[in-house]
Amino acid sequence: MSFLDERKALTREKRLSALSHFHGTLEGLIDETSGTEIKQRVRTLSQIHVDETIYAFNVLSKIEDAAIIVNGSVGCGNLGLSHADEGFGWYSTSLVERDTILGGDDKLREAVLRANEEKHPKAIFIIGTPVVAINNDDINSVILELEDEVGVPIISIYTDGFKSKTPVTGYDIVTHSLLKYIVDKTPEEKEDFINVVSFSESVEDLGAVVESLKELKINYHIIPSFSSIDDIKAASKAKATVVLNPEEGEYLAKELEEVFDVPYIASEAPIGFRGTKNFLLKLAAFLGIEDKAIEYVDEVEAELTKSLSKDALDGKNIFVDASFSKIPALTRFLKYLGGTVVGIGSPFIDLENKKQLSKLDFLSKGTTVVIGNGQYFEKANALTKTETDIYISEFEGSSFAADEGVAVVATKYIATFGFKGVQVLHDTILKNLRFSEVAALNESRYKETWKKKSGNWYVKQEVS
Amino acid sequence: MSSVIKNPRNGCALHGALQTVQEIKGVVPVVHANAGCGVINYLANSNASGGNSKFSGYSIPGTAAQERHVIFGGASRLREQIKNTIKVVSGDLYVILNSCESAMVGDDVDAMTREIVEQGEPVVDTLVAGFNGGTHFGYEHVLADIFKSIDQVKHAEDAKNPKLVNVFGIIPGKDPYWQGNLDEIQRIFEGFGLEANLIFGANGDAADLSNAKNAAISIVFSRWGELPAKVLNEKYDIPVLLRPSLPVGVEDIKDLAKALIGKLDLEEDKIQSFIEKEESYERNLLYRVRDEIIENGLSKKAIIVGDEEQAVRIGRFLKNQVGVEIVGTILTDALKKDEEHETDNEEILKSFSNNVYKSVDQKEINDIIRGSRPEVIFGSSLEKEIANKLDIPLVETSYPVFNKLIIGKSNAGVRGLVSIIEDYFTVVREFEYERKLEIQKSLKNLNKEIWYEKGDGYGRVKSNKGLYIRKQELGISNG
Repeated sequence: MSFLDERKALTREKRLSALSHFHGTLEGLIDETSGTEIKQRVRTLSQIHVDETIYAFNVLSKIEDAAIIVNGSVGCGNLGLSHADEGFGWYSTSLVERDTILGGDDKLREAVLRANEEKHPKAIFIIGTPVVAINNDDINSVILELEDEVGVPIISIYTDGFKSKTPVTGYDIVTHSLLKYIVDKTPEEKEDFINVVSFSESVEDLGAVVESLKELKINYHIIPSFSSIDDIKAASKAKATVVLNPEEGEYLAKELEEVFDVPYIASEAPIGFRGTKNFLLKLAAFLGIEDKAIEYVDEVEAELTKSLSKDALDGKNIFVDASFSKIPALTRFLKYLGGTVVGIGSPFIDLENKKQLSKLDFLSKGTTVVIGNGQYFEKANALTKTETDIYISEFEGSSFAADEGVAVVATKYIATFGFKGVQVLHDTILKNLRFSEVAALNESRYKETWKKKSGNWYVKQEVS
Repeated sequence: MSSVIKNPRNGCALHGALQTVQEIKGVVPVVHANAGCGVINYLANSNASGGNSKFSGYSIPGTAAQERHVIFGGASRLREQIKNTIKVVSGDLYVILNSCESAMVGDDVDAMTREIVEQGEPVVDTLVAGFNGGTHFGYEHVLADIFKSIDQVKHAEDAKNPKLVNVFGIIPGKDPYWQGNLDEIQRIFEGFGLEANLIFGANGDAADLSNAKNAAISIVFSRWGELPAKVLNEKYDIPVLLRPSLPVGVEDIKDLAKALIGKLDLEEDKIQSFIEKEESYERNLLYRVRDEIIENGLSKKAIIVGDEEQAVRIGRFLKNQVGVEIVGTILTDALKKDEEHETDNEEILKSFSNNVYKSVDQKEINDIIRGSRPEVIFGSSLEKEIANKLDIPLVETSYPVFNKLIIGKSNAGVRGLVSIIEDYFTVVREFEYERKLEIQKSLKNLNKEIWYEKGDGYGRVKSNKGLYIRKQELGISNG
């Protein structure tokens, strides 16, 4: 069933029953998610975390010929600074108290006209923020009024920062808008390339994946990150679609398949030996270049295994914190290096994540699982309880774990995807462990009494 | 001026309040907003690295308000959050920060704070919402609000200290060199025989907030420090001294000393001997770099982009001691006609800068720079693009500074004077080196063979026949 008829994307909670608050065991999580719906929970103590506005901004900022207007107070517009070192420019309507009372339409109008005149973009995106959502500003009338004058699509991104607990909803909202307003509705014929769907992957990650695609001489368009409006427009002409992180990109791939007949080659994230191999071989089978792919994969794998120390993590308890789609590949790799995974952290889990959940049967049923964006206080509790030696995280600010006496490995700035990622991750683990040996131990941010309490103390059933 | 801003460099009031309190050791911020508001501040600052304090980024407790809190009010969620934060997170003082959302919904944050304070917990709040103002506004208001109520929640003994000086006006993060600058100002006050009540960073903490009432004077180094000083003046009768900027160089330090004599009980001999030492140090270092200044033509035409205090500090020094002509200064903080503050630097700004502008809009800033025809820019990393277009060097002195780690470096005082010169020289030299290489390349007659050495240590020859290694000299031919 296509969701494109909806005016805007449904939140991840509504579409796939996404759960962002859970603290328990793997067995408990499997149980919790076994039905057709996942029961919602809340946290009565929380720490600040990313929201869908930030995610929407992050991906739109990587479309090279688009203009972005953050429609809100100047603080929301400040987000652009996190990308500004990449030569990126954006606009803020910089709403003040008066606009929260009388509405900010005039400023939005001015921003659209300015963005068009100065940037000559191929599309203009207006990102919604709490202030305009609460005020219910009429964005659409501004769009209707200006679209003809401006001559390029002006697209409202319906983010508000409080309707969803799942930041990945921001990617869904962007996906929905791109499909509805940008992707070519009447593609004449297929062209010789595949869509590679990427939202959150870093350039390093994409570089690692693209390396293999180039080796196999597969033509590709990366969308929507690091793309152009024309690349996105052409998505309906592709021979097939692959997705790097299923929980982020599957929505786009499935809709392309359903609405535009572009086959979606579903696979797990191309991380680790097995993940990357499965990803490439499935794609190669579809394209009819299996032999070439097998030859390439065998060659790379043989070379790679030589340089890995299989006992690097011998006897170590490991807590891994990453997007749930990546958990099977990461935990498998950590086990390959001799480690024991005692804990898992992920921002959310939804009905589609059951695929990955079923691949974790090699882990103990009692493995601790913390589902939540950030929520480091709970992770500090879990690290203590599970007697974790090493905390591996793809998120920022992971040094909190060092205060719990745990070695920290951060993968934020490295490639973890593709065959290259295997080597890089391996080397990073060794590097970070060397720092942990010498790092000074600081006082924990959290009280000892808290770490003795049960970790799910502040996770409660949601009552409506 | 357009109300829409291209590439805004300043955050909102919540961001200002947040980056202020998170740099005070022992203080735990509690953000009452939707999940992402505080995170935006963290992400925006993460490119301009000054490291992270204990309660920054994802470690900050916050209500992560949801739709139901927008519709039905978020006060009860806040009550639950404060109560649980105190149970879990170790802190000496908890500061509740408000947001656009809770202000629009009308949550009674104050009542929630009172309730928990009645239980004897050290909690204060500030009611400024994001849309009330920018980062600078957030700094002054959160400090003012803390001083209004700290004595009831975190009482310090009443013991006036005639040597204690409150330091205000340096906004953590907004001055990329804030930590180093606080260190330097502390060093200077120690030289004067005084004690600096710094509040922020490595040498300050939450106790400084309680103890501020015992200071002999509050010294305000930028307009953004006036409000907290005023609150302390009204409540505890602490005199206020307004300064146009942090001092740079010995002349400024002398001025500062002069302003303090008569107001505080000072040992003038001690100050004199401190100043003499500083003077000799400064003279020695400036003596050493005379050749560098002359030979590299550092007395250029410059434009400055940054907050007023920093512009005054750097501008006066560059003009008066390096002979730089300041063709323009673009202020990025005090934008409107400011009737709330007493600080008036107009004359000072005019004294060193040919023109003074106010803007935070990147297009406008770029247009002003282009029109001013400078030979060098002293600004933020956001001016990189225009610097590249105009093919002139950029010295990064104001927020944001990307891809650099600045944790202890100063650009105030005598130590700071040295680092401004060092940075200026380094940037200009690197720039000139690139230019030299370009010129060198252009000298080559392209019809001739060009010899060069690659990283493998083998010389190669490039000519219109292609690229090859000279066989006759090296005896190999695999070019």
